[in-house]
Amino acid sequence: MPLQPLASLSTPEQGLFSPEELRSLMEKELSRSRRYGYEMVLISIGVDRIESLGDIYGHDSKSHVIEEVVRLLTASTRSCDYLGCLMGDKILALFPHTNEVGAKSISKRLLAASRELEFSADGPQVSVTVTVGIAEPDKDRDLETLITRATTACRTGQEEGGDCWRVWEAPAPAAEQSAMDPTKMDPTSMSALMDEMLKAKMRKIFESMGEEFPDLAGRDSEVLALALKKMTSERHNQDEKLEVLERRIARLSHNLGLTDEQLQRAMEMGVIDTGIASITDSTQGLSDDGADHQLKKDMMSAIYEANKEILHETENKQNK
Amino acid sequence: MDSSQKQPNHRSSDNAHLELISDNESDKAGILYVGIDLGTSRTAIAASNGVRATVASVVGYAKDVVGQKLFGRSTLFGDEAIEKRMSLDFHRPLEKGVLKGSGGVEGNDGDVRAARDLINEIIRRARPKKDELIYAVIGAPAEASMKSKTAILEVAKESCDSVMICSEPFSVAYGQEMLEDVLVIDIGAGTVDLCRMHGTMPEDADQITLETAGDFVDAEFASAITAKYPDARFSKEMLKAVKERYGSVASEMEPCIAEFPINGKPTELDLTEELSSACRSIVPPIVKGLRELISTFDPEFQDRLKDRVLLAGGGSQIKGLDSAIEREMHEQLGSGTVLRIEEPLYGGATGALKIAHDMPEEYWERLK
Repeated sequence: MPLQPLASLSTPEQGLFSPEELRSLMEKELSRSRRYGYEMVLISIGVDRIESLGDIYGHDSKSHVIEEVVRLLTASTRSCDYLGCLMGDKILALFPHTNEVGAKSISKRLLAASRELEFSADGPQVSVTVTVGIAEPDKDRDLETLITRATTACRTGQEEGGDCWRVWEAPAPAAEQSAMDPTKMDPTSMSALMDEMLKAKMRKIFESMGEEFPDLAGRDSEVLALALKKMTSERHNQDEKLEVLERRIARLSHNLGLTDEQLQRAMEMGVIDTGIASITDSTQGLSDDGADHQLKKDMMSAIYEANKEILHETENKQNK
Repeated sequence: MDSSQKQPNHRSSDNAHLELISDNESDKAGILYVGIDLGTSRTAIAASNGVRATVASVVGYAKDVVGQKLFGRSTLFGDEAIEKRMSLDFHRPLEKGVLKGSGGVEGNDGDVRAARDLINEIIRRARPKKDELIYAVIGAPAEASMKSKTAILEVAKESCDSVMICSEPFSVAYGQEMLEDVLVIDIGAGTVDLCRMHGTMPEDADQITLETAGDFVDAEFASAITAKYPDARFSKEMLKAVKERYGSVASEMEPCIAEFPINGKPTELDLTEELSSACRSIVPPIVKGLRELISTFDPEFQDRLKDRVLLAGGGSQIKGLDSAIEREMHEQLGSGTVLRIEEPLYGGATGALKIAHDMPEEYWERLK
């Protein structure tokens, strides 16, 4: 089934992407994410029982409903955050730099907003609901596979009654593999993975952020799993992972000037670009051990000596 | 069919120039540490009290008493000065990253005064307490001359209790805690500074300053527009605004449609190709500079250096610039990975702040 551009995404000045351009853009985005290793998700939004809607109220009603759902999608996110298109009756939206947690957050907002939609049809009020399928790309970042996964997840949700979000899952994963994947762990399994001291410290970090925002405290296991998932470098032991995570959180909350609410959203959306220094594992942190301390001292000394020379030059100039 | 719904909440963008960061950066009472990035186009400050601010590097003085009364004061700064520049004695005290009147750049007493007032203003915006000592680290271009550094020090000393000058790209690297096997590209309006970090203080041989920076892009852009639309009229500020909004080197860039007057009539012009070409013009000199720094490095570690290129500065916000530099590096040098810093506008200032904070007390005392 061909991809059709979402009209509402484009301004008249920009013009619409053709289906070929849209597919090409999506392929490029997938290729880029493969290259730089950043995350992305595709969500497939289906209006529940849309065929029945069309049968009862006519074909135009389907288009109108879909337009409204697209408007909700645009209102819930920034248009620059995703590439969107129609495929049949489904709305597909590709979100670069977004992970499953972020996609769930978007989905929840969409579901809540769609429940508020009401249409009138010469008398009776008609409500609609939507189902959202979420899928992450496979290791090859194949677009067709991604689309199939997202639409399958959406269809599964609709078959289960609709008005929900579903994440695509590979059929019958091995119990052992699931147990090792932190994103699929429940809090009980998570605590088995971490020792008590690490858990206590992490809880303290998230509690300090969650005091005013209880929602974050309730989601900390998901965010924690996400953060730990990113730390794939084998050189990190548990303490180092904690230090990196704490530094990252500190940077996000302080250096970026984010409020706690924005921080929560940023972490949920996974909008941290892994191509940005200080967030990636390749950041070299100066620890407190002797070698790094000495390096810093030497550098400060060199800067001081250079400025002594400048000051000397300034005094010479004034004395002339 | 009609529809109605509750309107969703929309998040508004934050346009504030003042941002609060950490509130525990300084545990030394009575001293405010500040890091200042004195840029040709924008000056930024990061302070140990958590305040950060940025202002366009322009100063305007009311021409007479009437002007003073109109503006409510005799001196204006930043965007306000730009907006009212037709009524002001207008100064851009920095050029190519140095103070005018120093380092081979022409200038006059007015420019020196403007520089002094600009530094004073940016420190004021950091909201120091009345009794606080101000210890400042100011970034200078990598190849700034002794004369340039002396000039900066002279004007800064009037606003600070103790001040030091430091290489800008080094400040960026220090702020990111990337001090080994890293290449920094700091793209400003006046200069592009390249700096090779290898676990010690960078020397002259480790640093290159290029003049093909943001202002160069503006000049190329202006030439291209004039060639295509000879009757179009535009100012530097108009060009800059278009560049900052649409600037891109990406192959799939957003169309750049700007409205400029032609023979007095506002006319929409498609400047996509002209802007893209102008933005791309800074890539070859940068890669040439990178090649020079890489080829003169220890051959055993050249690949590592290529894989850790740090892109900073206001110019790094040109869309797709990191990918474009990477592509050129792959073609000319075999490989390359470019990382962008989180906050291009504050990278230099926060790095300078970190240096200020880490500088031993005794050094500050001796330089007072």
